Amino acid sequence: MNDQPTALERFWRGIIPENPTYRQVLGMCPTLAVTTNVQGAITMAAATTFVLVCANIMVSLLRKIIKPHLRILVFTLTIATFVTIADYFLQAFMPEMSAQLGPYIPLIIVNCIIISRCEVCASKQSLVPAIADGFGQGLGFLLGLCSIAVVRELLGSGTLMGYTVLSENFWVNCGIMILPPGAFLTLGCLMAFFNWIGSKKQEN
Amino acid sequence: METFLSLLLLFLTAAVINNFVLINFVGICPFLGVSKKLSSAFGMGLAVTFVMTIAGFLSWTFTYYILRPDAPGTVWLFNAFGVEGVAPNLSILSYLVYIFVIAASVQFVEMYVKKFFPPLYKAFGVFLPLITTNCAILFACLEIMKRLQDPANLWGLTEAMVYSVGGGLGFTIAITIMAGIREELELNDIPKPFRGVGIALLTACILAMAFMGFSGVNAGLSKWLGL
Amino acid sequence: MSEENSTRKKSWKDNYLVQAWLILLMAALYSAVLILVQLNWGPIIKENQRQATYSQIPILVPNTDVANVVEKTLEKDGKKVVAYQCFDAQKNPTGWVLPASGQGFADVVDLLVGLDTSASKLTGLVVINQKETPGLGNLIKEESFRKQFIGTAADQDITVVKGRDGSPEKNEIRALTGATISSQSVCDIVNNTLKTWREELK
Repeated sequence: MNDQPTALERFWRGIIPENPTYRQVLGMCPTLAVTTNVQGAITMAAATTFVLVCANIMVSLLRKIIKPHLRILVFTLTIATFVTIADYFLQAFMPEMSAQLGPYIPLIIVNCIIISRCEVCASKQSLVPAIADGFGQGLGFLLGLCSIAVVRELLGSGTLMGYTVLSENFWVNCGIMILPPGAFLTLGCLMAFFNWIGSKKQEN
Repeated sequence: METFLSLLLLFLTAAVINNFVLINFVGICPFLGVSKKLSSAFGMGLAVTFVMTIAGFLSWTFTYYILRPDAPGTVWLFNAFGVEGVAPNLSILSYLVYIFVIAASVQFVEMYVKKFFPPLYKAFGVFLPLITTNCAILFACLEIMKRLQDPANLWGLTEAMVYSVGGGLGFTIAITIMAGIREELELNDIPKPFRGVGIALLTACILAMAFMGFSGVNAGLSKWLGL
Repeated sequence: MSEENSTRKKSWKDNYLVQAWLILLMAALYSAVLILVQLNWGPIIKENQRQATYSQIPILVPNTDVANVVEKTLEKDGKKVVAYQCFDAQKNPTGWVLPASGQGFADVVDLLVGLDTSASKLTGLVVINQKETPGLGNLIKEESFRKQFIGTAADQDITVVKGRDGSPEKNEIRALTGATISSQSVCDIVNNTLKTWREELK
């Protein structure tokens, strides 16, 4: 297991070098759909991180006794269960947020980030790196979602976290930013921006 | 006649007005990943439509008879096991059931097509395993579930089927248009940072704007048709 | 040798149920966890859904004591709806709340309509679920639009007028600027619902 990254490396990699949104381009559905405001983005990222960490823990603990040809079945079963728990938690204690996020919470089940982390990291490494990997990827996902949500909420409704930042006296809200095209536009431009930074870094 | 028209409206809503990809943001991964060539994009679209139809049928059946609150199957089951004092409600199992229904329908379609339509299998067989993690299909199942929660206006099997077929076709339309544009984009000189996913997303932005032009058509149509 | 091995009689270890023991065990464990979740959080979720409607009732029908609201299931032509009959603290009837839903501009719009005791006048309207265009159509949930419905007669159609000039007459609602279809949809939903259910409210 010497060739596998350590826990700290796993954690750091998830945030920048292997960022789920900008580097791996995974989990695009929630990235585009729930980023109309920052609170929604944070809740979505938190729910995903919860499922990611729990699934990583389960898979890492069971990695030696899972039959290889049945592993996808085990992953799916685990992920679907934890997503159900997360969904019921939101419905019970944050009903308004649950209504806002709607079907995108259950859609975490088919979020490729989680199944790919189970496959790449948790089914090969012990508990501590697996947990670190879960939190790292979750944090990376949070950064990805928040970067888009900040732009869209600020330009689209002139607020941040629900507080008015751009007053209506001098700012006209661009309604398009909270509509579907705004999501594609913001993500496309941000992705080009991060690519540009990455290529500048490589040149130096 | 009125039923037929309202079904037609439902179909249009699922296919273009509230397009799965461009308005609801589901199925983005294949939309960006498999849209470089027109032929493979069309194959992917057809495969998704196929699986979505079957998954829609199965998830409606399971939800109607077992998973929704006070479903006949659940009531029978609770009585048979003598469970008392708890409202018969198995909806907590919905997500688990749906994901396995989708996996099973993908397997089923793969075997069936491989055996009976080998040329078709050659055309879109490679995309079938990818479809299990396609959120568009789970989204269709969840939408059907949502419409079976409210006893006042339940969706029948016909509505569920029309919705799934419409959604699948909507996905096909979106991914085919996208592939057509991306084939042309290959020949253009795109600024380096935008190459790949960046320009695809900007294209999707313009497509989404075009599809937003459809919104309100259903309200207008239903008024015009007198529904 | 190996061929012989592969064709040997199947031992109990090759049975697919035995092969999948881990999956079966996990399924049992997860079911137990989910049952616990359902038993603990299920009632809270149900209460939340009830609250979503009940918290609006005093706004829709003034002077109502939420504790005295009675739910009534109405049936007509194979359709069903749950109406809420409202009473004040002394159990005198104050009016009705009727759920209404229909196609809006973007997606389905769900409303609650408040009516007086004889179901002849509207006493209020709230939007509980909508996905209309932000900044234009979603203004239907603002009070300035909704309060126009208070006092309109329930036995005739409510109509929409466009433009700013002139004050709306009886049973006319001024459309939101840039969101005529959303405004029209709300009126249509109210009209259709009242047409179907008004006679049944007694």
